Amino acid sequence: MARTEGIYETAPRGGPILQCEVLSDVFQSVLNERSVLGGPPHSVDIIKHPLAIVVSQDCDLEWDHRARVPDGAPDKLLPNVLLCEVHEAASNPSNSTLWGPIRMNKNERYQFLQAPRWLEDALREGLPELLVDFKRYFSLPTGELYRRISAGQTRRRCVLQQPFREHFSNRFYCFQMRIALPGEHFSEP
Amino acid sequence: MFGNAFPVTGLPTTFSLQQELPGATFTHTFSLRTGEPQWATQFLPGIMMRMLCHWLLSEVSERGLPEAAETLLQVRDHYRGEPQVLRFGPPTVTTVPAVVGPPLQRPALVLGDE
Repeated sequence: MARTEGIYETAPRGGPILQCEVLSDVFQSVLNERSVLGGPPHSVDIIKHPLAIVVSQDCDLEWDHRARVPDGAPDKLLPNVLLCEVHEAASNPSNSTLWGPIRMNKNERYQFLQAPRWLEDALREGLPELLVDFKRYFSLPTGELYRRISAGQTRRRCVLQQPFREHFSNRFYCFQMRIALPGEHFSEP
Repeated sequence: MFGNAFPVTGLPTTFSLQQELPGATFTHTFSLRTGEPQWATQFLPGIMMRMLCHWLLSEVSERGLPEAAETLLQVRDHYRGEPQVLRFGPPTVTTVPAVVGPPLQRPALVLGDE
């Protein structure tokens, strides 16, 4: 199958974080479970996600960014940004029966992403083929994420373009909206 | 069919699987080199699996052969080549000491038009 053009463009240097933007070196601080109910010493786990993709809505992110000024509209602030972990597709150890549908984006839980080329990467490095597990989402305080980006700790890499952005978002939210059934429809053997 | 292959010592090391089909006779011959070091521990599982695959293919009806070929092609391509060296590993965790700061009050809820 030939490579598809127009899936990505480079992430902008400034402005709001975008829906379906791929970030690298994303840091997530989580209160260590032993510290939740216990007394001191407390500790925090710093999880470093090598890659992550933003799944918050574009319009919410844009309004939030506009409101992050003195006297900005407080109702527009987005306290947290929702992200999904992004993994290198080659790290997937599955068998071909499982991997075939995943690679074609026919498994509802996963999203396979073509490798962004160096021209589509703001760091001009390019990225390998990527895999997103829709169960592996997390959130970060929006202000912290912007601060880490401006400090150069977290890097903005590339953004999915229409209609790949909508395709990705639709699949992510459809997965979150799935309905558990008490059993499957029976088929006569 | 493979009953004479196991256990592996003191038994025939060459045997055949023969299949008569309209217009052709298929003969698979298996020669087991059981004298090689670590044969039973290292090679036997893979040998058994390949023999099983040969036998299963011979059991597939004419109707199922195109699908079997397609599936086998996918399996072959999936496992072709060496595993790639990863540039991006899984998430890593570093634990740092922390002190509990003063409690923060969450921002008041402000209603607004969307």
